[in-house]
Amino acid sequence: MHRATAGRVQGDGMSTAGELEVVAARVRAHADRVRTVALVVGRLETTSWRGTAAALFRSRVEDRRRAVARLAGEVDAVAADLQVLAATVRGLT
Amino acid sequence: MTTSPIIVTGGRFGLGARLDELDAAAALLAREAAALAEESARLLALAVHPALLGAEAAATVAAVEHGALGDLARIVGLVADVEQGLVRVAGPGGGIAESGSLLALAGAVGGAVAAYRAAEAGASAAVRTGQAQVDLAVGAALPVLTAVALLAPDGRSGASDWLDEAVREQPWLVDAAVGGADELLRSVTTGGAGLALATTWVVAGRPWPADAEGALALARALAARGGYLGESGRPPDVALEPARTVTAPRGVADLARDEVDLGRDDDPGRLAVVHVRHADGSSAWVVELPGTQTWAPMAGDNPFDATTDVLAMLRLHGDVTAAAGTALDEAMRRAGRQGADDPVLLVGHSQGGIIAAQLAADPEFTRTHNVTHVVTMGSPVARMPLPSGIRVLSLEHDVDPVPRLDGRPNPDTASWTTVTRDVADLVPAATAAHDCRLYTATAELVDRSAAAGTDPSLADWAASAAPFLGAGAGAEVTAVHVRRSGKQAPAY
Repeated sequence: MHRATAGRVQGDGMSTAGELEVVAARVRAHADRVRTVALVVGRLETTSWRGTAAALFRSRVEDRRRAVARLAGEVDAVAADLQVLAATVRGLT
Repeated sequence: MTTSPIIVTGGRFGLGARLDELDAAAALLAREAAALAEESARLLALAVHPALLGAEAAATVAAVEHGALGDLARIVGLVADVEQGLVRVAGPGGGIAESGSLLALAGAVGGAVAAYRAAEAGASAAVRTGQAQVDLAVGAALPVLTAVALLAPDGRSGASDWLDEAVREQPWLVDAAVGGADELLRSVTTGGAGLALATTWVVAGRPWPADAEGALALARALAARGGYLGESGRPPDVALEPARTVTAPRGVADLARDEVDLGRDDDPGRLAVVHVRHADGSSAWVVELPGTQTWAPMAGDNPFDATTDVLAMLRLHGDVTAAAGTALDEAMRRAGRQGADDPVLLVGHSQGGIIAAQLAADPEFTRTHNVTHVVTMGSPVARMPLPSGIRVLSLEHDVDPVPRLDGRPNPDTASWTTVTRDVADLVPAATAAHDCRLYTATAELVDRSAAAGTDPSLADWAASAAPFLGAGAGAEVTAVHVRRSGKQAPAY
């Protein structure tokens, strides 16, 4: 019984870790798309009086991009923890 | 540091396009915020996944059975790490919070775009409010000033010289005169000038016009009663010469040189169709339309005249638009390219530019011709409703009164690039600024800027026009003679 349960934990754990990696990749893609917004805002900086406000927005967009990219890294870290957990459970059985 | 002799507005990298891009960027941020919220919900669901919740219990049983309590402690710690990690990345301090931040930023960017637009519109409105008063005064005063100039006994040739110099010094006078017409018409309407209304209604059978365009339509209706500014309605005579091999146009300046040739006094009444052949078997077509060649108010045999000017400004079809379509179709048929959907560039100086824009704005014409580009030189085309899919390049000299006759600047959009050049120091009078040879010199500046990448909008336009202006292509030109049917040249 416990062997079956541990096997499920190991199997589900690995697939869940894989799912988390996919989520991390998607979050990383969000960060890349936010980067395109920073580029668009940056183009306005070349135009006279509009430049000051645009620079401010670009800075805010860059902050968000970094935050989302950091989030992707954290999801990856959780996925790695989950893989270790699954492997440890497997080692017990 | 040297300043560029040309000023570029609009195009793919103009302000209008950038604000459109920013609008799209705000929408993208909002979509990313929503997507991130969905990812966070998935992560939270994983935190309560049965396998994860069962891991600790299963590990306890296994550890006791195998006497591996150290592993048990490690597993419990790992389970806690994973659960906390999932809550951290998905919860209030992670994805959910970031989703909220992105949404707030989307709102801020969208608000900034609205503020930019409002600022532009506010500035324009402020200028318009002040300008309306100036326009009204100038619009009312110009006829009087013109009359005084005509009567002035100073030995000069009269009003035309006086106005010509005045407009070179103060080109805004043209804007004010056009705007003044609008203001005058509005003020008469709101002022209840019953006599004017009754007169136009009785004489022309039409309501009082609301703006300069309406006034032009009314003027044409009145002129038509005297046999002026009208065409017979019969198709024009369109005669194509055999095509002859030429060097393919390599830039806007080559198109301008062709326009100079079409404007020659010794061979009037022509347009030209250029077939650009590429090594891969593809083709592109350039239709070149000349400027006004006769100012006679009675329609004569040469259709490039004042009658066509008025028709084109009112976006009414006439002999020249009919001839352009006929000439292009026949040239394509002779080349075996009928129905090939080849791209078409329409170019013209002065009236030719108005006709080019008129054809490009005509759904009937574009349904059967794949018009992708328009080039105008010294043409008042700002009011033409050109589709956004057509790339327009407009060259305008700041003291040239002709492109100002529409009374407004060209739209600042991604598809419409306008090049303005200050030529006040190069010409003795405003009408000289309209000379097609001067526009050729401006076109050379445009080509140089595009080649050097000095202005991204110009470079982008030139890249898009490569099928027509690219190096290494072969070309044939067909000269097309156009005459009005059954018309004799008037004795002016």
